[in-house]
Amino acid sequence: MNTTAELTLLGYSEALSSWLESDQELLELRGAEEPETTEASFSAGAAMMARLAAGGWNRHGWPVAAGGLGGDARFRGVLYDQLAAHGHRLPDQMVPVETLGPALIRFAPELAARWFPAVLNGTEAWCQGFSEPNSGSDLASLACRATHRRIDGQDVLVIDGQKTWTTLGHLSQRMAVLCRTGTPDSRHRGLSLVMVDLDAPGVTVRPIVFANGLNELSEVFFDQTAVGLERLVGAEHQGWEVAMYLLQFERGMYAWQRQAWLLSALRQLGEELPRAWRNSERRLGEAYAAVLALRARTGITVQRLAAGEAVGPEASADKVLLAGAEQMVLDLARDLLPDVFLTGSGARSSGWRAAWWYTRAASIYGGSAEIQRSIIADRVLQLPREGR
Amino acid sequence: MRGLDAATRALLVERVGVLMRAGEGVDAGLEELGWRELMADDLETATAILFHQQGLAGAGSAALDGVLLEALGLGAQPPTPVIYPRPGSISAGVAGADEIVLSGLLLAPPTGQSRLLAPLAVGAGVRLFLVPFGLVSVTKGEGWMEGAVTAVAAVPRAAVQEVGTGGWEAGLAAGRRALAWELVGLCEAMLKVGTEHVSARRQFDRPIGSFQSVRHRLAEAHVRTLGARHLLEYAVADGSPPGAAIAKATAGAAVRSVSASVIQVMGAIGLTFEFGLHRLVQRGFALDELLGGCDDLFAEAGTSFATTPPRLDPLVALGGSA
Repeated sequence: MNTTAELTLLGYSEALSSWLESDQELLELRGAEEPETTEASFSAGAAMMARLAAGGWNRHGWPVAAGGLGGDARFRGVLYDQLAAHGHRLPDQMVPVETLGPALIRFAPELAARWFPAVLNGTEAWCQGFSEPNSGSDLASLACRATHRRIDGQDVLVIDGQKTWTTLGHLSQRMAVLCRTGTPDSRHRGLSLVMVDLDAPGVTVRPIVFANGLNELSEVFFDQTAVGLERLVGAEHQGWEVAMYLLQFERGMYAWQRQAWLLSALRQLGEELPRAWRNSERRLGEAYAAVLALRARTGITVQRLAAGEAVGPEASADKVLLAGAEQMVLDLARDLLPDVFLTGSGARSSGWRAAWWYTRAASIYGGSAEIQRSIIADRVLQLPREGR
Repeated sequence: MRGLDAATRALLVERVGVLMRAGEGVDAGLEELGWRELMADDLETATAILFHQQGLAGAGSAALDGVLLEALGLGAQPPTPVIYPRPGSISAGVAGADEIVLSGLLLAPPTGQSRLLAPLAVGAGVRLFLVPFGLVSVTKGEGWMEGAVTAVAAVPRAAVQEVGTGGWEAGLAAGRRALAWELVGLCEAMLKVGTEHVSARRQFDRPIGSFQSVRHRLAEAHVRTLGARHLLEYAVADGSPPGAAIAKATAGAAVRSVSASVIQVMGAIGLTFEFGLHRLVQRGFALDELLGGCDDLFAEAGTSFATTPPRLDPLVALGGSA
């Protein structure tokens, strides 16, 4: 296969587009019945990751040292866009690939070299452990502890505590756990990010059934779980900085993945919407415009990430636009396909209903809409700080 | 102007900005700047600079006429006022076999021009006609579209001349992008007024801008404005008429939302004539209606999307195209 050095962005886009319509295995996955559980979706996703990696398609845009073929992040943007444009489902695995991959590559390159190729080919999945029952928006208050111990002649960190709202935790092999290595009142200064194997002794993973009836999330308990110091991502006490770095990719790349999915959802809606009923045309146009604005905005963020630039507080706008677009599209589906929502049976109907609930989370995860507006108010508009 | 370097562009932006803020003589000032040559050289860049500054200043001019003429391939003609369709209409009248019936808007009272350019419905399409000014009856408007004039006429078909150039579609797209730039500028201007006020105005021993509801309202207004701006930049890169329509609709919807938020946070002061916020708000509504209001354009975009879902090139958004 061509290395990215040999392929321009346009060349990659065209070659990929053509392959997505001709690869038999991928077309079979596309034609298969829509998965109705997170487990089935995950399994289909793993098969797709394997197929993409085998052809090198999802290795463009990642450094060679981490199992990639070189090239900047825009190649990944093209991949996600073209997958959705050709009616393929984006594997669930692609979310942690984007939210965690860059952080490991930057702050723990040896771990990335060792594990990332398996993530790209779908044989390994990662998840994120940040939030806790008592630490959501106020993430810096988190309490999950990591204490230095010496066990069997080895220096280790022993982890105790609980994480919650971990997307697809029960199906993942490794978790990036943000824990407190500093004093109890050290807030953001005393945090470290550690990669923990979820089958390690002391780890218990429990799925949380989401409002749509699916096991979208998990809570994870750590009881004296020991990890080697080489599992640190970044230096000890550098966890907050690593988390902030990671959040940039959630703004740009994840939001870009979602705009691609939203466009494909709108295409489906466009086919099914009744005409001239409940203002369907105007609402469809408005929703399309909202997704296009998101696409235009996150496209710029992806370009900045691809150029190695830091993405600042302006990226809070991406998050607000994302939540708005997600909820507008699914509200349109709910309002214009009421039979599907109230009494529809089968995978397509349950898929719409599940998606409506999932999009409610878009204004809550990764920093709630209220937090984003506060960031914009403080650091972009520079309005007076909130009184106590 | 192709490949305008950053310094030259900045200088142009500054000079146009000064002109717009002067409050009068904008059209004459643009003539002096050689704006027609600049448009002929690079219409999209000239449009973006001029109309964004016009919006930021809350100023007005007849510059839109020049944009349409240039986009229609008539840039070399003497300045010709355009008769715009009334709100909700797709043409400024109907051209029948024997007679044309015209009802539209002019941006300013005509001064000495002999002919006006009118897009008229012919069957299911829209075609362009030059109409002798003397045959048209004009009335100064007194509403929110400052300076505008309504124009009506009923004249024999033989008295008008059809203009055989590029279709109205190209002019409409260029005009919509220009209006979208101005709408974005107006949003930004209103947001600036709002943020300055809430930062200075104190109640309960603190600036009212320190209350969460106020901060969040303005943060949302910022996001709407930013979304409209980036979508417009994307539509310029994409260049298509549907892109121009969606960008204008989004900017028009944004100005409505931003207006409401800024009016609210301004309190009573914002409702005084003296303060002047009303001029920005009114112009915003007027520009939304011109060349397609947001509701109508969203409906068209939705119909078009449902009929033929567009294939979007990722390289346009990712900055990878030439």
